[in-house]
Amino acid sequence: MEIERKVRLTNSLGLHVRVGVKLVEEARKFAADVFISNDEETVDGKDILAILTLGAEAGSVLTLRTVGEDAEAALDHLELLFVNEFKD
Amino acid sequence: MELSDFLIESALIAELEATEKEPAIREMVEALCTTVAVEQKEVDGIVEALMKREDLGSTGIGRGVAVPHARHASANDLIGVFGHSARGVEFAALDGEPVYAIFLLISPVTSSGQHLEALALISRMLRNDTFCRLLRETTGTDDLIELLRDAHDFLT
Repeated sequence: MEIERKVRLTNSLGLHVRVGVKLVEEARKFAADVFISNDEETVDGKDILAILTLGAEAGSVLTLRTVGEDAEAALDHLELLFVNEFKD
Repeated sequence: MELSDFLIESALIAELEATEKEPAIREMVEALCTTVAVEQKEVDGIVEALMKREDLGSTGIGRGVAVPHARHASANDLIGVFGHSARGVEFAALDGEPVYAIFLLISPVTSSGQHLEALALISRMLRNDTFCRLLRETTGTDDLIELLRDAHDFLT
């Protein structure tokens, strides 16, 4: 299974280290491969260095793509992180 | 953006004396004080801001590198300093390994864009295995300055 959705980075500081780490930690809970893209590139959503290279600022729109058996559960979970601005 | 846009070469530390996080951060902020970038009276406040950020989660992002950062009212522009440790600094990094290279960043309270851009730049460089190896193995102020000046060539 492979699905993708667009998400908006609504937290005020953009995709900084702490948010990136949270994203990686949550993505790693799933077997599915996770990819994150901006307009220019696609990176591994389970690799903090890769995520930071996006330099995504607050308000930017990213595409989340998950591939694997639990792709839908993974995408739902990760999308919620964005909606909740990465707060627990 | 290039590293030289924000890294203050004259404050570079080729071999950190500290082997733990807070002393290493303090040593690097003190080094900035020897330049016009930071005033002595701001040191404690900056160290505190950086450590407060570390308490939220280590900025040791793996591959032997940490990027401690904070905003501070005294900064008018993004500034940074590089510190190297052949012995390694205990930084509670994400991968559990000590860090050998520290890029410390201080940004103005009003902007986050530059800081993100700097992190993105450093992260892109770190994806290059050769650069990571050189960052760890290079010693001496002059050679480290040269490596950082040439770092742009390692961007893929």
